[in-house]
Amino acid sequence: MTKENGAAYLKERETKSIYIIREAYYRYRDKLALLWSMGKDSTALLHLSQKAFFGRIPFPVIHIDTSFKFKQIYSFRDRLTKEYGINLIIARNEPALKKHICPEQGRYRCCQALKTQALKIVTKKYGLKAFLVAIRRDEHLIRAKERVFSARDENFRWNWQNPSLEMWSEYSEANPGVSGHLRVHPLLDWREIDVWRYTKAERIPILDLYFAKNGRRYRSVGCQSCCQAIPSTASDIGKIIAELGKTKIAERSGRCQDKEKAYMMQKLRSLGYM
Amino acid sequence: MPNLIKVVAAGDVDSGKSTLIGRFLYESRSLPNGLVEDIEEECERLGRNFEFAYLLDSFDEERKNELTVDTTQSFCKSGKNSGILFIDVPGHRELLKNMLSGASYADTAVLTIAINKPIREQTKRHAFILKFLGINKIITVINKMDLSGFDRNDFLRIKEQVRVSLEKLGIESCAYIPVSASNGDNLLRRSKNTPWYHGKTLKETISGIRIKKRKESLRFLIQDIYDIAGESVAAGIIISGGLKIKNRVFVLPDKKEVQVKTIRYSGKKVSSATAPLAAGITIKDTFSLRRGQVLSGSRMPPVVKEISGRIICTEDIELNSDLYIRCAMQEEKVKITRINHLWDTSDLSPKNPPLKKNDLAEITLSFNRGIVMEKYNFSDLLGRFVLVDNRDRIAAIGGAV
Repeated sequence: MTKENGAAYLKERETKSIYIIREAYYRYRDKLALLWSMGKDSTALLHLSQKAFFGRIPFPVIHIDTSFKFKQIYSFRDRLTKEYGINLIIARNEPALKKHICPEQGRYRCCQALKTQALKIVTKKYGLKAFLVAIRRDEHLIRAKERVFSARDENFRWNWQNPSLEMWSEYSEANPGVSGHLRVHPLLDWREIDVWRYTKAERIPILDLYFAKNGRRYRSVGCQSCCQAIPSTASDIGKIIAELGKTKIAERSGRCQDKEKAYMMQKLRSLGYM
Repeated sequence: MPNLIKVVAAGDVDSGKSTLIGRFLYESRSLPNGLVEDIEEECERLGRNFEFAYLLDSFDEERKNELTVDTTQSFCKSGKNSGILFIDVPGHRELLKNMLSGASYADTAVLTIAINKPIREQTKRHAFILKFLGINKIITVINKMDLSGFDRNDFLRIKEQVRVSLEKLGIESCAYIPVSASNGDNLLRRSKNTPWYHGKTLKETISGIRIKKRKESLRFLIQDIYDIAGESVAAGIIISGGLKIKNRVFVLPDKKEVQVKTIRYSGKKVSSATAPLAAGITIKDTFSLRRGQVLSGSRMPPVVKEISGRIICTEDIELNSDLYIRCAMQEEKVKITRINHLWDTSDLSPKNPPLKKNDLAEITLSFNRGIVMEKYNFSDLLGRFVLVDNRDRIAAIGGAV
């Protein structure tokens, strides 16, 4: 791709995503929050949100902390919280952590308790109605079915059998009602390689777990216990972009929760997982 | 991917839309490792032969019932700097909303016809909806050619039937391709089974389609007003053209001329901005900007209080119910003052009111206040609209005639 073409393409992506972020803010104001895992996608979303509001993100940013994250994630989080001037909320399901819920007891149960349930707790505590979530269609066949604005009921259930009509850039039909909430997906149309190109062009800070060390790197970063590194020599973003042009390895191939059982992702998502 | 073409696969239930896309992805080597193996395993569990459709139909229920319920999208690299985004949609009549959600993304369409089935109203309805959405480039594939032994005469017979049906709807297909989606004939590679076919493969046909660029005059759509460092900043998106500080621009629908004082992009003040860009502006004049307004240069779009619109109803509509029009970020209360024509979308036969779900109508709409609306052009944010009821449900989609 020519450099100019590529820049124009990223600008178009950026404009559309900012449009979506602002639409969510227009509708929900202080009841909106951004879910930030410190991974490449949600960090790009954080960056886009900062640009959308000309420098300062006017809503809280939530880190769902399972306590099983890589230790680098925590220092990265604290550094960017300062750099971006974020109002950070850390969401932990303390009762479950006290009961020592962990991946060894079953990943489905663990994801449910430490991610979905932790989000439920924080939603209630702060009276939140909508979340910006950095999922993309090309990550998973189930996520490919999503809408940009997607409602969840009071039990966080995704009624995928009755999705809203999303016509052009008119997202208003998604209605979570009085007791539900809304998931907003500004990066839904982005591809993995787009995120990397944007991260490079915008010089967005990135976790070094993504870069190859001793012949391996993490392609998707979540909990340390449930993420495996892939063989790679890509030690910087340019090399990652080159690698993605050739690879046949699935992005979330290192993610255990996607593959444990057939339809695990569908089940997790229908119950409120991201 | 700068050269990305978005292709929706439309057509009747069971014409093989999902299989077509699935096989195309498989042949183009767009699938990650392990995915085909996962699906093999799943097909074995369900006691079926390998189903390419499962690459799109990812829900448990869709696979069990062999029916696409919701739309999905899948990317496929088609050249060094080019890609195809396939959009799968359900064929079932009851799932019109999901079909529209998917088709609203598309630049072009592949209309899928099964050779072993007569052309039913649902094929015509889909074809008509595509035309309605401004998708003028339609590629017709005659699928399941293996079921007729790749017979040339069968192909020509069905092709002619489709051509006549489409012609009645005012649609011209830019190609007719004999394919067997499940075996991959004529998708990426020319098939040995159809030596009598000298046209292009599906991939070649899609790659040959060119999408028109948008116009160049300024359209800045105001989304919201933010207080930034004590200034009231109108945040919006520039969808075409550009602006500079000190430029004099018109605020519509008010038709007020103002001067641009500052332009913000990201955290910085800049001296100019061009589309596409999410920017913010302040003006020198004492005039308050608000969501829904459009900034334009001297080549202004029309401001209208009444329009003739063509709509597809996505719900039953009662004429005296509360309706609102949304066009870009504008929203106004609207009245349907006249139904000029009303048709059934399957065969375009005229019918009588009331307006029912799946109907197509030409209506007159009037608003209390003027709104900005470009002429019927679905590629333009200001050229299309939705009508919503008082519960935010979209009752119709449309454009100004």
